[in-house]
Amino acid sequence: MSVETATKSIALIKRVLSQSGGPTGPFMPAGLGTRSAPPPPGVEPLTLTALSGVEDLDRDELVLTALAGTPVDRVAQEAAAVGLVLCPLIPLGTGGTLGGLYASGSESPCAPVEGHLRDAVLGVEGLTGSGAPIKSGGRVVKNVTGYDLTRFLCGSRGALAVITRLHWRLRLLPTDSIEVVIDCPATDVGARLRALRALPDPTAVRIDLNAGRTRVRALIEGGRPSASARAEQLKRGLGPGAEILSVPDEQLAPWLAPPAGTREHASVRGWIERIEELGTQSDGVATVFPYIGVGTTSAPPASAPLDAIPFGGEITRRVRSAWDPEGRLWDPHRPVPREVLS
Amino acid sequence: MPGRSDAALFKTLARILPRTRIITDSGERSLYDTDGLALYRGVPGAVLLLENAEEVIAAVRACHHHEVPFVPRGAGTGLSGGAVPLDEAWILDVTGMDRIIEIDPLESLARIEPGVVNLDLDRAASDYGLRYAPDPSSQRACTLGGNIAENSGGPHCFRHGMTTRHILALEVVLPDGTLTSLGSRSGATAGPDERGLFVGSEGTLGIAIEATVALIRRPEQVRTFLASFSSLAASCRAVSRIIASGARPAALEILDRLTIAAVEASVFRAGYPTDAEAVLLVEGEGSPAEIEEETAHVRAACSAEGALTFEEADDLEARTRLWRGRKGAFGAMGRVARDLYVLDGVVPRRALADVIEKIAAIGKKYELILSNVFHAGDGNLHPNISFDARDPEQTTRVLAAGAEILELCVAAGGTLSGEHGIGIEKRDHMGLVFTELELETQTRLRDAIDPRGLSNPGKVFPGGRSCVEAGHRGPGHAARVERIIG
Ligand SMILES: Cc1cc2nc3c(=O)[nH]c(=O)nc-3n(C[C@H](O)[C@H](O)[C@@H](O)COP(=O)(O)OP(=O)(O)OC[C@H]3O[C@@H](n4cnc5c(N)ncnc54)[C@H](O)[C@@H]3O)c2cc1C
Ligand SMILES: Cc1cc2nc3c(=O)[nH]c(=O)nc-3n(C[C@H](O)[C@H](O)[C@H](O)COP(=O)(O)OP(=O)(O)OC[C@H]3O[C@@H](n4cnc5c(N)ncnc54)[C@H](O)[C@@H]3O)c2cc1C
Repeated sequence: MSVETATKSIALIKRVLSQSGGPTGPFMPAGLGTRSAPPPPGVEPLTLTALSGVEDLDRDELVLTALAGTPVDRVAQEAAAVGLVLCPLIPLGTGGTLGGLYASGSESPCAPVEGHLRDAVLGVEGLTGSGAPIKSGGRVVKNVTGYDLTRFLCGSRGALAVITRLHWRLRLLPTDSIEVVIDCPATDVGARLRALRALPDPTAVRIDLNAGRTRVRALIEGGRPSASARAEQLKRGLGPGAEILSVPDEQLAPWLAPPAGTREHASVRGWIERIEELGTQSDGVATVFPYIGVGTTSAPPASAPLDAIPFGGEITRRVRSAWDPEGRLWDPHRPVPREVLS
Repeated sequence: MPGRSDAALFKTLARILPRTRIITDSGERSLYDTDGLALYRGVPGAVLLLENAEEVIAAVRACHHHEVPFVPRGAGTGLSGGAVPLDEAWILDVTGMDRIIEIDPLESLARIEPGVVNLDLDRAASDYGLRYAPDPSSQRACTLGGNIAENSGGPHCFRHGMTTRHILALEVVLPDGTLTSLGSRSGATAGPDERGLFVGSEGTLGIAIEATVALIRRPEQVRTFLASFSSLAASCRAVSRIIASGARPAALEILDRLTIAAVEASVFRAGYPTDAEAVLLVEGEGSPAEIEEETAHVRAACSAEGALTFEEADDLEARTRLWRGRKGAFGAMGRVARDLYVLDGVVPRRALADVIEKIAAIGKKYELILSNVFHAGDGNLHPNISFDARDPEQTTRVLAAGAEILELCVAAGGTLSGEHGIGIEKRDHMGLVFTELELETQTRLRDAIDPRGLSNPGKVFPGGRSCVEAGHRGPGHAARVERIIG
């Protein structure tokens, strides 16, 4: 899409939003709909898939600018063609739009080493519910000019702003990926995680639980001699039974994304307990990224009604009422944790 | 509401705080009239020395009730006038809240109060083989509260990211006294990243009273490299080559000729070659195998750009010596002139050499002594102007040159600040980056959180009221700078 056409489309969205007292709305910004249910009756979808295109990809500065409706896979493909990958390691096969990825605030399992998804976005442009322009950040890595709306709006799920354009950080494509795995009873997970914590952090750590047994998986970016040395070091650290396996490219996206299930949040310590508990249940299944506190499980947790976790807090509430007093953007107020992925 | 009443506020607070922790004496108040920038000054109506969360909440509620503006304050090392009180705002000094509440090695985090000094946290973490990554040059004095409010950086933020990346959760007192929790122990957020909004908000959205911060493992091995070049442009090109090679150094810093000379003539002497136009300081960290890979990349890049000298240091003593010059650079500039104006602009990496050349021309035009120390990997420039703030005519030229340099950075595709914040210093330049409507969206946000405009008013946004005087430093300043660099 040319800059001119993009500007026209954005102006159109602005007109729709600022039509005060009009018959339409509230609106729900939407990408490809891979991660959201269709809007309920009375809520109109504001589909952004037409606002699509990579406007600039700068191989030297390691940054790209794309319109929010651009499919993530298209962006990833264009980056891969010049040997780059979207941070934090967002591989091909992710699905959805760039705006949807950003607005759903997806947590990256690579966060402890690479930073969260919100750390990879350098700048954002968009519109508030009343059609006022939002701009934050830009194409440089360090930027403390004005409020950090780039981070604030990451995870805002269409309730605070319509995202139109994003500046995203890139890095060199890993030549291949390897993982160090160890199978053990669920009761041993704590010991394995403690052993891992004493070693340099791998790119990501994942635990798969099935029928009382767990597989602890540490992902390492391969291709360089130092990566193999690192893998050997982790293998030794994890103890007898640990193995080094390669992760084919097409397996990387499923490795990094949690499969379907009930979403739960807990600390590392909390997850150790939870896995031990689920391990005693014959149908206990879980996929956990312990270092970022997120996992999906087959069974709802016994305590803490997760539905009660609100979407944002006091700050979000105040900003929403200031930016969108007429409520033109639909406030889903839907709980994040119970959401089912895929 | 009856409007602002300092007397009523004093009465309320005298019931809560011991008299010794409410500073009203004009001499003592004037110790708080500036920050590390020293170009702006304003005497606070009073200073409150707060020691715990309950006191902060009570003080903010009272300020809100009596409509008295307030300024959160840490160590006062800020470089954009952020902690300078305007309109006789009261200072809420939280340096007394300096407890490290918890360090949890399994979760790799620490829970701290805002007055903890950056380096103290790092030292405490080292007992567990961990570290706190952001390392501003002021880390011996600045507080985590100030770091959070400014989203501070440091040399090692090139690889590890700025303060915001290391803040997992915050307890914040909003400007009306409401206590709210942002983020979570894992750093995940349910919905918008309120944590991310607060970081870098420069004291305008309330006061952080507790933070949960991420700690990372100390590297197995560290190697520091020093390369010297016959032109600044060559040193900048070497940086781009290193990044393009796939190396991931922790730090990439450049010092120019004038800075090298000042450092070498000072107590921070580091053995930098004084005949070079620039030195590039690189730090690699990781496993021994990673270090060898980094070394090959760094060596090749520097050699391709015709480095005059190339030095590697593995042992702590030699590395400390190489860093001494960089860490002491601002202090060393004290030899050149009485005062130093440290600017903070960002440009795309490829524009570095060109912009620095243009900055030199601006220095010439205004007849000023201008040197450069910068975070080259991030394109974050620190043009330093040496001057005498007692001379108002010189100060006017300094400010005019500063404004032109900022315009230059923005025109090159960069921005006004990479780590020091906007404060008072750059608020009137915000129009270079944002349209009026875009700024209005931000001020609406601020007004929504602080409808009475009490938390650090007059900062960040243009047109703030001020009773600022340029060219004066408060009596406390010299002592503070000594503490940082000594
Ligand atoms: C490593 C990794 C981890 C992931 N983890 C998660 C996760 O934790 N949770 C999760 O939900 N998904 C996760 N995903 C999937 C990711 O969020 C989707 O791929 C995303 O791209 C959805 O895009 P979509 O266009 O289908 O969005 P949609 O399903 O259409 O929309 C998703 C949400 O974003 C909003 N939205 C979409 N576009 C805009 C816009 N332009 N402006 C404002 N709001 C908009 C919608 O209102 C809706 O709330 C993960 C992906 C990866 C690679
Ligand atoms: C010699 C020298 C070197 C420096 N080097 C660097 C560097 O390498 N990188 C860098 O980024 N900066 C650097 N600085 C700038 C400065 O040290 C940082 O901005 C630092 O974070 C300020 O911390 P402080 O405790 O001194 O904060 P202060 O100066 O007291 O306050 C700074 C701002 O933070 C707000 N604030 C303070 N505490 C809180 C709180 N608890 N809650 C909310 N708001 C609060 C204040 O209102 C003010 O707006 C340097 C300064 C000097 C003098």
